[in-house]
Amino acid sequence: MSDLRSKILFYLGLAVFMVLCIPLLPRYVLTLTTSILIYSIYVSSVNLLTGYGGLISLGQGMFWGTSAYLVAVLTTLNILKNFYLTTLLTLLSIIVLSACFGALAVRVKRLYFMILTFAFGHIMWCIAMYPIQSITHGFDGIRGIVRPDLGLPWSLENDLTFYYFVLIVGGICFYLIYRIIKSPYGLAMIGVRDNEHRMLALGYNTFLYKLICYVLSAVIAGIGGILFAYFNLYVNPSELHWLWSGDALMMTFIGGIGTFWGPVLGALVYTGLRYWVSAYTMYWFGIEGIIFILVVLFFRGGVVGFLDQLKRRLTDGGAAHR
Amino acid sequence: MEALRIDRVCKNFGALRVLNRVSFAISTSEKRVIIIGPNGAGKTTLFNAIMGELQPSSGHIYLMSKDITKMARHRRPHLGLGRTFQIIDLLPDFTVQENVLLALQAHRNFRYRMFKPVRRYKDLYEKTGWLLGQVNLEEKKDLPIRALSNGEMRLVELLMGIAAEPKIVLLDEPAAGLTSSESEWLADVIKRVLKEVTVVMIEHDMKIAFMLAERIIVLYQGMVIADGKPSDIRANPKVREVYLGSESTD
Repeated sequence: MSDLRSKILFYLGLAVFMVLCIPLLPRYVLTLTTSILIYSIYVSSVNLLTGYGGLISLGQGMFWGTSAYLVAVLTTLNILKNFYLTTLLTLLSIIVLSACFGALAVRVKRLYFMILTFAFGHIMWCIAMYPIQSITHGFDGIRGIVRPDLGLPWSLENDLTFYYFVLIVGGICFYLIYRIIKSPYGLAMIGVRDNEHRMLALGYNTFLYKLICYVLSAVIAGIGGILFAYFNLYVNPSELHWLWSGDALMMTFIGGIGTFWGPVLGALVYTGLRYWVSAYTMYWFGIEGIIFILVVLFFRGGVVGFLDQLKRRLTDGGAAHR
Repeated sequence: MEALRIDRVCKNFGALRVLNRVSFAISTSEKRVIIIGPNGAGKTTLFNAIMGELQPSSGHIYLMSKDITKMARHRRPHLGLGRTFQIIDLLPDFTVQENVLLALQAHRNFRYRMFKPVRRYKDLYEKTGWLLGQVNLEEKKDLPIRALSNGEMRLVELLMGIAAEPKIVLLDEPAAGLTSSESEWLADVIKRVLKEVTVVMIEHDMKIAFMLAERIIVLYQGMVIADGKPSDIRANPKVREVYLGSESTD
């Protein structure tokens, strides 16, 4: 019972902190927190795919980037003004795209899957770079995105309102992921990750489980991409680049792969450090590499694993005293 | 009714012929058919062909009178086919309960649902509990598989094969690696729990094979060399020569 109470207290405290305290801190904290939240959604999608589904993709940036580009194209070319229709159309496109790529990619395993997703991502990057430059503007990307009009009394032009908007969408995404991993589908999906051979012999259509996982994670990455386009008001091909897919994997590992809070902590540590370190040195990438090496060598469980160990040590210590 | 028919099944790995025109039929009224044969006789290959883990080079396999030779692997269990593995093949990080639960869930329509938590499907947990009770593993239900002894893993392996109440279950050396008293106990469990199911079992241990079998099929170098009641098999000179004979000289 006390376990449940501490859980409720934790979530309540977190909610109060996010809703009330963050806006009181300096402006740059608000902007930074907004971006961390958006990145967390993206990293959560990678965590769903890699941590729970066991599929290591080097092409998750493709869904983030494609949806950001779709929003940019649809809104700057005045094709669709309505925010809800834009979102719907973008996410439907992501579902179709991921189902097509996924149907090919999840047939193969591990390294081959990784290479295929890398190749798909690279195709999307090339499309943004070269063939339709009149629309995508190649390397320059697309400027001039404006914050959406939700048809509500609050304008998202205001950074604080936008922060709350991201907080709500992010909250919904995390809640959905939580429900998915606790569901019959989720249990079987983790089963497929751990032992596909046995799951097949039990009668599970493991292909379909992996495909669904791939599409779900693409949609969540897509939601992140949409938010990012409206947040940044500018998209460029680096959002589609495989380096950005690699970043997501790194954040997942730093936070703690296959744990619920890992992606959020990973995005927090990664974005926070980048912000802080890049103020002092231009060698951020090198430092990023060192952090990653340290995590892989000494903290396999990432931040979440480290905190778990700490907690266990503290409670064990307490028990010994009694 | 015919539960399983193997019709002139061959399997070649390159130049090596592992199964050579294997044919037999098992009716649903037969409860315990045991396949014996020396190492390399093709027993596990035969099971793999029935489960679809590999394709026969030629020949056909019928399950409940339906040709399943080319059917997708994951669809076969839904026709009432279960199996266990010779090398324990469980989900080591999942709890005992979750392993058995997954075996049951595979046959429920809600296996793709993704919003209601799995723990709210009470009947699934009740059935799991009942199954674990049958093999005295209830108390260990919350332990991960890796914390179990070899014998206990064997029991979970058995439950995974039979949880969904298949009409026919393939047991691949269910007692592999057990001490003789453990394997006698397991044989007793099989006799007790699997009354209604047609069991097709690969067994190395002659004592257990003859203790359990209603019918024995002897496989040697990929061919069926004898097929009949245990007493007939014991008396069969060919079997004595290639199998039982060689064993008694060890």
